[in-house]
Amino acid sequence: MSKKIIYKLIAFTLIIILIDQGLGHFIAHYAGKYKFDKRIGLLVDNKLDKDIMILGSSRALNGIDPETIQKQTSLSCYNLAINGSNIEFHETMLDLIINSKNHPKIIVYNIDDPATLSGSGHEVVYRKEELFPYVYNEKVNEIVANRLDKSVWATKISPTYHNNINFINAIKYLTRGAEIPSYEINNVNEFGANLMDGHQKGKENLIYQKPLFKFNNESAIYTKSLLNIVSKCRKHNIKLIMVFPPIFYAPTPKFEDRIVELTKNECLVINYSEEFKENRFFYNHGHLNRQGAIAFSKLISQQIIKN
Amino acid sequence: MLLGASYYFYMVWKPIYILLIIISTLIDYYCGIKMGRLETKSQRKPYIIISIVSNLLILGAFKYFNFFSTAANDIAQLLDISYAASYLNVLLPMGISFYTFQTMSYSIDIYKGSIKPEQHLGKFALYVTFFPQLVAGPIERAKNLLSQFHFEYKYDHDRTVSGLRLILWGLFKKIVIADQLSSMVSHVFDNPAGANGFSIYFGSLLFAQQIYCDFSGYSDIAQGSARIMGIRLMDNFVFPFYATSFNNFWSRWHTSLMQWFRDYIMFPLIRKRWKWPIVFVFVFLISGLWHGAGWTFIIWGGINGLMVVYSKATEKFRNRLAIKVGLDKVPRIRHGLQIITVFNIFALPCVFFLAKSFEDSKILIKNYFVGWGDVIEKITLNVDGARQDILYLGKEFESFVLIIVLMVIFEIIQWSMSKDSIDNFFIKKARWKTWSIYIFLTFAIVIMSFIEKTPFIYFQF
Repeated sequence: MSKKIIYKLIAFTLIIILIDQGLGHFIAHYAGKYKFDKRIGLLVDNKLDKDIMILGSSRALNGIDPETIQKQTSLSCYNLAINGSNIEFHETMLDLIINSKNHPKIIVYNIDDPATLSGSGHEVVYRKEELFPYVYNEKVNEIVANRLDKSVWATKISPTYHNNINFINAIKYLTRGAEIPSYEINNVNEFGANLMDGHQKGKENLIYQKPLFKFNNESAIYTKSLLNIVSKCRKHNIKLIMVFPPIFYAPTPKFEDRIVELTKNECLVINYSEEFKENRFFYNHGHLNRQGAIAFSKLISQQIIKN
Repeated sequence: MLLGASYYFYMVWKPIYILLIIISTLIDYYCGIKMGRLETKSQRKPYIIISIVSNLLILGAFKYFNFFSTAANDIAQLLDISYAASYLNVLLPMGISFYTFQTMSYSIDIYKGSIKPEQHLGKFALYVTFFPQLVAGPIERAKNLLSQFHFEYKYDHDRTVSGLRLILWGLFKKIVIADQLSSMVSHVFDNPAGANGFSIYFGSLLFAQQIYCDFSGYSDIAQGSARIMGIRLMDNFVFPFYATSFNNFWSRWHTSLMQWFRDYIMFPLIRKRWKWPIVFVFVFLISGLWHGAGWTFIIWGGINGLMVVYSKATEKFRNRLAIKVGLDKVPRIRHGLQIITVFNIFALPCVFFLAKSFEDSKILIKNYFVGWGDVIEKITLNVDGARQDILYLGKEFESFVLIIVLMVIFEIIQWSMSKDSIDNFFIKKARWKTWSIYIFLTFAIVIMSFIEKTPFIYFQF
């Protein structure tokens, strides 16, 4: 190879490295600024030091009020539930909690009847995009890379590749400014919860329903995640309380039995699904409103004090 | 070493299926050697039959058994005959349609006396399994590929740069265009019942672009990788969407397969005095079946065959018409119209290519005519967020705009390339321009390579 070719190669490589560094850091900088709900960021940056943490999907995000639990138990509490997320994602959240410096004493895990174990027909997914702005954290980066079939090794070499998942968020920040929270989705308060007032539009006159779902398609992946959550909490001396939140439809037959069977008395499982019979507590059939969330959080607090 | 690398490459996916390639290799090698020692075609006939039957048996068992078994069951039900359809629960071996066709072409060429058999088993095995083109072509001929394995490899800087350029361009097509369009296309065709006419039409257009970038991107990567190793593979795509007619389109699209059909099916049938329109439709029906074991693929092939026949039959008439309306005086506008027409004719029947079942294709065809009345209102007023569903096909506004911008850039670059060649497109520019394009392509690939796995579409064939 001639000297000229070698010089050309070096010059080209240097230009690539320079642009890669600049672009990568530019994306990382603006992606984080776009997001309104920064709870995962607080967790991975070790800025959350709470006694109790709430995990689950929207039913936990809307239905469990950490402020009430804090007042009732005198223990600090924070809600880390993410709407639309499945149990696999909840396991990831637990991994991030365990990976952080400050472990909680208690985790309240919200069971969704029957989406926690049902593989299809329910709108819960692994909400990986919630993790994207935090790929600067090594653990989060590993999780995201594995989920997206990205090379972890390459993410360590190229900042642009490392942050490419945030490219659209960076553009959004530059074009729209910071994200405006959505009332039903991510309008979280300082306790991490998103409590909703009254009833959902069109659900003002809710009527108690017969079972809405059938439990006949248990997902092996979800079952494994449930077992992992139980074992990981035990391994790290975190007290796990699993709760079935109040719902405004009859519980899915056989679902509770299956949860009890899987957890084998290794954690506290409390079923509140038929606790509230009046529609004033419900935003819609599956979600509590502010009034319901406060009442439900008082019930959880009583259990925490009792145990 | 290349043979070992090729076997390893295939075994990374599913090790056991390498046995199929080895069996196919040994049979064709044996038949080739035997045929090479015989003087006349009639003496060679038993060996060509062994070669073709064994290859078709492998292909039939792994790819078509379930389709024909179900079809036999359907016919039996129609005729009120009791027939228990059996089902083979096996994974389709990757690239099976490509390597079986490649080995068959070797045997047929020896049978016809166009080539001499390869004596070196290792070199022949490499011809069957050469890793850059093993799983998705181009379907090479022994005359071109096998002969190149007899030359010693020497490093050549210009050739390496040319190969790397092709790989870069192929990756851009695959990652930056095809993979980004994939989720938009799925948004429509994974839920046929919920799709409306405009979305199906738009989704079909995007799919045409997706499959082109996916498949030609793979071919570019394969050609580029081979070129670095000193091997020149045949061109598989010659800017098909810039074709001047639908007939011309099919002489630019997946040329290695179309030339295979031309040499081994079309010409022999025409020599047997079959009428050309029947030959064309027949070949395209087989082409449909080659793409997938399902009625939807056969229909897709049939429609394309009929359109090619129409295109050929009306060529003179269309030329006269163009002169009459004065289009011959504005060749650029005429070519623009031809491009739009060819693109639409190719894209619209893709509904059958994309439908997961015959039932789905019926729903899609029915829904093709639904929702056109208020589509402009829905998109402009964004009723219930309809714009994201109908126009952005599930993407957010920013992602949608980004994809459109990248597609426009892709078309500009590709149009320039079509005027000369991919190599000359880069070579003939000032260095700063060439380097700017390299850098743009590189970072577009790096930035857009975050989506979930989207395997090459043609791997399934």
